[in-house]
Amino acid sequence: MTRQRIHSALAIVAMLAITYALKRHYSTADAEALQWILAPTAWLVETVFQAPFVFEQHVGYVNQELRFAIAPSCAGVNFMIIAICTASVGFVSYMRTLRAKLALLFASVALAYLATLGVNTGRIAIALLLQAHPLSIAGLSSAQIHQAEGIVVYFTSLCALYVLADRLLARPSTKAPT
Amino acid sequence: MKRLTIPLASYLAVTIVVPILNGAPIDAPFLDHAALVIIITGTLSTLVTSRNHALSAARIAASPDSTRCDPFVRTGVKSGACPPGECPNECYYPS
Repeated sequence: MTRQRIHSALAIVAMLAITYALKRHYSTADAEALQWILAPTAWLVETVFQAPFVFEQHVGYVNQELRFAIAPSCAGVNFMIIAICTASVGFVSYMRTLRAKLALLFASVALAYLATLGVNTGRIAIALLLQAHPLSIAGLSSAQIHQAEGIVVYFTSLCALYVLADRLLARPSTKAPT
Repeated sequence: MKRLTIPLASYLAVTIVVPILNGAPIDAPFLDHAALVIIITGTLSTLVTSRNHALSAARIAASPDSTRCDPFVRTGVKSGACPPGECPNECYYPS
């Protein structure tokens, strides 16, 4: 096993430790403990919709008029975990030194957090529009449409962010000669 | 392909495999959600892959040297298929 591969394996282990800790925190956290992600998301949604969301204990951020709650299940923590995994696994081989690989990991965590806020705000905005103008798709309940909307938004955003990051990080030597 | 495989694998792992390994109950709501995830991500991946294949096929077909330079155009790998001077716009000539 080469030195580079050992360094990549160490970076992947560090990524697994971070994502495991995040997943464990998320699985037991209530709305108060998830303020670090719910509060900025609610602020962004408020800014987009010009509608106030009020924090309610054990529920999350609620707007009674829109009849919408930004609850722990809507926090987007799973998307953040997926984004960290995708960035670390996808780009760890682009970095040559252990320091660069670990820097990539920590940058992935920070950027995944920011990406989650943006993507989740978009997802909630679409969900609010769908609530105002309900879609009817044969065989799907409104809850399933809400879930499907989340999957489409999260998955397409993940792929788009991955392609963008790949273009930014791709080494010139990895490109085919033209 | 790699650009789709890693996001897809991560998405399926975190939304389906990890909850199962974590001991989440495999009940009707979980199965509903898993089915939606597989159908939607599978459909989107198929659409993107088909689009990419169609675009690269169209690019090859539109190339004036498509017959002679196919191996190079398709793979980007240095090829001995084109003698120097035959298709100067497409082939890679080592200096």
